[in-house]
Amino acid sequence: MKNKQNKSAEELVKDFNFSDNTQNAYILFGWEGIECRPNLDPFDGTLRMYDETQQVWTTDVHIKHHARRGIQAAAELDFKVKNPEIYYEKQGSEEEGGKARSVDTRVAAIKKNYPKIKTGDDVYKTCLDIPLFGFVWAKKGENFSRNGAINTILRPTTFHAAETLSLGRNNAFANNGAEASGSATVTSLEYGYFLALFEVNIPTLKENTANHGVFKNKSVNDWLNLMVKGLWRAYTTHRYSSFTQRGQYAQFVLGWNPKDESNIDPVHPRNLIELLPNPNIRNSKEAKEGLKAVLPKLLEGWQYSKETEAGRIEKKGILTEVIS
Amino acid sequence: MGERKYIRFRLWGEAAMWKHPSEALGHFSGAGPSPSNIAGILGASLGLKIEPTPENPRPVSQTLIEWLKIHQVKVASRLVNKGYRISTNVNAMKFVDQFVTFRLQRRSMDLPEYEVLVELNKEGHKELINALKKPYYQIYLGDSNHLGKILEVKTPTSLEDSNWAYKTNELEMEEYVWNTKFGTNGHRLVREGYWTYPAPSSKKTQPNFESCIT
Repeated sequence: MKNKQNKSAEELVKDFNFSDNTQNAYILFGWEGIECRPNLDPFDGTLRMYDETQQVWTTDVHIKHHARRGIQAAAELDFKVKNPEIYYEKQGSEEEGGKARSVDTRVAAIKKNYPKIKTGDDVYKTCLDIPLFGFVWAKKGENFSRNGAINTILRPTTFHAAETLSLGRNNAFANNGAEASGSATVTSLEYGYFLALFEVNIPTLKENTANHGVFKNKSVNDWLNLMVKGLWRAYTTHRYSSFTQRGQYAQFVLGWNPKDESNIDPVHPRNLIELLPNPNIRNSKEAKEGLKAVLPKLLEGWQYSKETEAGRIEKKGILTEVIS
Repeated sequence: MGERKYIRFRLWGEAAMWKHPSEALGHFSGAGPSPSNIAGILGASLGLKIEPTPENPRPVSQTLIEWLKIHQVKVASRLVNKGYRISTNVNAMKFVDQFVTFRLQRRSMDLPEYEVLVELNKEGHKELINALKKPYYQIYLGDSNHLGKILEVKTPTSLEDSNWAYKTNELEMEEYVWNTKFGTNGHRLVREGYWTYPAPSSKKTQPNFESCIT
């Protein structure tokens, strides 16, 4: 019997084929969230939402945090990189401990496999996430930074109005000295189908990856395959049970070069919601119908075409059904 | 000045953070780009790189300054839509080497759209219009968290009256908050004035062209 990990690995066998003849390329990532709490507002712990449309959104920082972990896994499993490192990784990452680390702590951890690392330039040429997402070498007196080549141009947003519930819960154990355990109210996203559109700047990617010391002599297409496979793994085989990733499942990744990049119409899910016959989508079946109304328009605006498609990964032929 | 030509384009983004120059993190966006912000966008389109050094990781691009001087570039801009701000609460770092974090509320412009006019010498027109149609680097609307797109690039046949931003020496209490344009005297930033974005419903004037550099 095939297990799920093998199935997802099989989905990754086929490579994407991005061209480097355009200034930009695009990656659209779709995933479902069911009874989840992606990336809460740090002030009040609630889900981020557009009030007018009731669409839930999350940040590029959130999705890139998970993508980095997937990129590390993809480098090892799909590209056979020995000791792949990512820079922005939280402490106790095996358990997604959630505690961020200082520069010195992070560098000390990387040095275990790469003992010669000293400068920001060394770190940049060793870690796999930096050429893709950029970084700041946060050391006093040693200013060094790199702009990322890949960023979300549309932040991850549900394409529909989402239902959220306020759930009361009790803490299991009382704090030291307290007589009884406390309670809190948390908001839960009952169902959300997110779309996140990444823009890749090819000149920046070429510059950032030119002298990489670990993923050596790789083309733009190789790096973008690392990105898409990492993104897929982060939400399939290498999901965490952490609070912010629990209940979220990859549905598709679609990559393309724009057919006419001087003619982009920047369509946004916030504007497309009016195309939905019923914006209050509550499950996968309704989401698939909703995507048929929304996705073709979104892709048309961002200059997707079958001829310039670089590749796709999809669960149960979702894209084939929705955009054919 | 030689023969002067014009380029018009729209600037769009999901969000924009036009920061006050003295505030690195950016907690409140100006209403729109200042002339020097627009200069950065032109430079990114042209593919003119900055040359960072350990002492100065974000210097002004000398190549860009030369290009702007040679072609005597001036810009005008206006806010096309109503211009709302959206609050995003984030975790930020207080001291980068001491790992002290704090929470910050950033109020960025939400789905902003601007119209920009560029006035320049005939010799630079073709190079710039081609670059704007297919920008070399990614376009940022104030910082690298806020990507933008350049749309509808064309050579205008007329320059209409509209709610164009204008320069003032004093801060005005307009509906939309000011942008400052800063020069430098070699030692510290010097405020030269304010670049005010009036509301779309304001009195219409001809475009107010301003140089991008001091």
